[in-house]
Amino acid sequence: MSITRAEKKHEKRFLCLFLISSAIMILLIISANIIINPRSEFGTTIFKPLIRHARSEKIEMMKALPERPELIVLGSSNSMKLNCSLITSLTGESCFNAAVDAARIEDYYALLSYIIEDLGFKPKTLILGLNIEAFSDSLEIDPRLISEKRLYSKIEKPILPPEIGIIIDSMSPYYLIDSFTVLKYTLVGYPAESSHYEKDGQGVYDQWDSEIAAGNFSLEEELGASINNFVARLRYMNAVSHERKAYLEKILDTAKNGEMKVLMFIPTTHSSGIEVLKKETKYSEMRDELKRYLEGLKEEYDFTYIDASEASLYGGNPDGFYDVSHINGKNAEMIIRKMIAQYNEEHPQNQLMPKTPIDTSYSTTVTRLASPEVV
Amino acid sequence: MILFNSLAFIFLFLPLTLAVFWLLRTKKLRYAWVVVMGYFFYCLWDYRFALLLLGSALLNFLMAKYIYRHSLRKQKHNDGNDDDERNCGKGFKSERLKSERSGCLKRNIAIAFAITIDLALLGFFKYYNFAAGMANSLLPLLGIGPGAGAGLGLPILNIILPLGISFYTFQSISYIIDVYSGKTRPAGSFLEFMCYISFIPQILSGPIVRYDEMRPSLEAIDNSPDSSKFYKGINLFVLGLAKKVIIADTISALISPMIIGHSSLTTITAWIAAIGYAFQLYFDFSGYTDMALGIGCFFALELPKNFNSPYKALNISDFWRRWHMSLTRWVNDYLFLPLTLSGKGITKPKILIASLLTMLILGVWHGAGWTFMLFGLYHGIMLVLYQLTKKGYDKLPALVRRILTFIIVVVGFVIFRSDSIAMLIDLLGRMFSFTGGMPFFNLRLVLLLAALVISSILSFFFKNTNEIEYHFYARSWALAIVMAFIFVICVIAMGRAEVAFLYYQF
Repeated sequence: MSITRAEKKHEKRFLCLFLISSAIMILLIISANIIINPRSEFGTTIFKPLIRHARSEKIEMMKALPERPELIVLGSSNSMKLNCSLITSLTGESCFNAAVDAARIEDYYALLSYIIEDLGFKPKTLILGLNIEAFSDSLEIDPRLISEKRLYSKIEKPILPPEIGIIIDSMSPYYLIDSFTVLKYTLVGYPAESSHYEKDGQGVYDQWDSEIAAGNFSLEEELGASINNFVARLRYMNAVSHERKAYLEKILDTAKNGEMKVLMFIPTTHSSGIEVLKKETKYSEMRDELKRYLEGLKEEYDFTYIDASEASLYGGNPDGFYDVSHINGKNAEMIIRKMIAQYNEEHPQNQLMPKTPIDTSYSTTVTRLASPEVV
Repeated sequence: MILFNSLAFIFLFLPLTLAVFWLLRTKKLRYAWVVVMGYFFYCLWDYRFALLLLGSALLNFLMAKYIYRHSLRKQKHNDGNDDDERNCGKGFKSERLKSERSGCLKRNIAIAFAITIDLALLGFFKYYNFAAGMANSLLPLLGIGPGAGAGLGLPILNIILPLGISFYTFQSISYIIDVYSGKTRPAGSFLEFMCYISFIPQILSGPIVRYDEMRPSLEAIDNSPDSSKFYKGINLFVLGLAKKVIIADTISALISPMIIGHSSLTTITAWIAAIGYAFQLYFDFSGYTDMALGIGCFFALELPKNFNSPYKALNISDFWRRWHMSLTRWVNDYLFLPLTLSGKGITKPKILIASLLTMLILGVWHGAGWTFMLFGLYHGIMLVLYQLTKKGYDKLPALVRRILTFIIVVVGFVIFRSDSIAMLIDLLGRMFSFTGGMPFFNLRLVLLLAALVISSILSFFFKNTNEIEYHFYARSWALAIVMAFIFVICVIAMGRAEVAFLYYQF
């Protein structure tokens, strides 16, 4: 069948129109996602995002502090429950909890660099909550670090601009649903915040706490709802990343040069989560590899670390959780006490001691945290 | 490994490969580029098995050349060219008898050698562990081996199944048999042959292309770009992508938990899951094939169609003429016909036995396992039953025949999907026990039913992608925008997760 010139013209018109229409539609969707920015990933602030931008919030909170903290807590959201009042009462050092959501090691480094270089703080002590997935060889840089330019400027840039990855990831049905949800909330009003930060950076889970107080909190439901997302972070992790190890070593170098004391812990996961992780991921191997690596580092750097990956390792409550990876205040208190005790045991000449023999300034907070016990 | 339904393939690999392909002008360079990118594509999965692919291609190319060189007599080709005949049959002229016999022997040895190696590789990678396990457990029961129950002690190896091995092995075998029997000439060069074997769209999951089907396009590979091919290619690719990521993956997400938790299914939900799987498999595999055909069009290398609305089939024989057509053609030409034509005359029992045997092999081709064997045997029995009841059956109303065929196919796919005999018995037991009452209608089930209704309408009443006339010239602008819209929906749907094509595992 011979094709006429007119038919050829139609075919060419089809090709051009198809390519142009596809490009325009894709660009429109990307633009809408960037403008609406439902997950705080693009840095635009026209609409209120669904996910709070902990990195930006913590920076602003630190800038507003009346005095420079002497002890900084760095970690992911599962370190947010480390209570600064308690830490101050045990160490005598003023404290700020700078833990941020979904933190990887480069986040810790970026925050520490910003704290020292831009805010001019001179911390005496660092507490690091070292998540296993924070060392993942498969997870990308968190988009919220990339969108917070004050922090992103502190780390090494990948060869390919990571913004491309964020834009590609935004081309998903879930992301579009989030964008529509933001538009809906903008029209009908946002629901009440489910959490907030205290002035010292400590995280407070208002919704969970009120459910606990009302007696209708179901740990089982929360475990079920959170387990898949948590497992997904470790699913493709095959090794402790060399690049991320280098960031930890840079943090330790900074601490060494600044004569800072360093205390670390591996945060706790609920036993049901560990069970799934062991079945579906290389969790056990990764935890062992991380521990071996930390042991190796002790030859070069002076720090204390405890393995708090399971509640039983520090005598914590096995159900002292809000969900699969977020411990309650009581378990957090036990980790703090064990870590400081171990530090003091290892450093008899340079102990962390309260300024006054009995400091009860934290007690009200502890009482408040301890009351909504999740058992 | 990158999949056709991945952003990396659609926005990076494919445009780059095409751009360079069309920039190159000569036949050799284009062959070389297609081969390089085909191997690169394959290496993205596992580079070690690229050597196996290369070795297999080299062996078959050389053997085909050797067989062709030892052909002596002249005959008329399918393509109209006079050439040497390759049949080792009767009628040798007496003065050439000796040398012809010698050539014939060499060709027979060469074809036997090539096919043995091809099948040995396929057998080792695909069937060794199954056969070893079976031998270890069964032979001692028959008193063979060192003591009953002790097993023969054949080691179970940690074998990775090379991707696409079933497809490229069958393709190579068809090539060598066709050269032997004089249906086609061997490829002009090794590059051309590698291009035929490792062409990106069909390297992993077919269609199983015969060399003479692809030769005209291969020989014209240095032609200028043709807008009508791109036109057809885009339509096929987009519709195939939509079949895969919008329909098949959605059904998969809804029925997978049901199939995994099959022990809690009722009769109704078991049938819903079974029908869902039949649609998932069809839209997944035919979607892949449409995309492969579309990509072929972008390179101006046309591949044969592989599906022709199989669920519109009126009987099981008709179904196999419409489902995975390239495989059916292969088993028909290289198994069924030789089995039927062997010996004296074509008798009905011979046809029935050949049908049974062919379908058994077709089942086993899909994988090493009892359920695949049963799948083949089941379809073989259904074919035999159809042949025996043909006269009466064909008088039934078309709608009844269509529904009956669909039910037979759905039950067949339950066998195909089952991971074990125990799972199969459980699933079939639930489907035919008529227990459990009405299911609880939750959002998931409603969504699944909606997906099944849409799939049914598309499968039973719509034209398939091959039947659609891609020449809506008068409204090309509207079609372009509709296709672009479907494409963008697919791109967004792909953001859920990359789900591998079901036929990659075969």
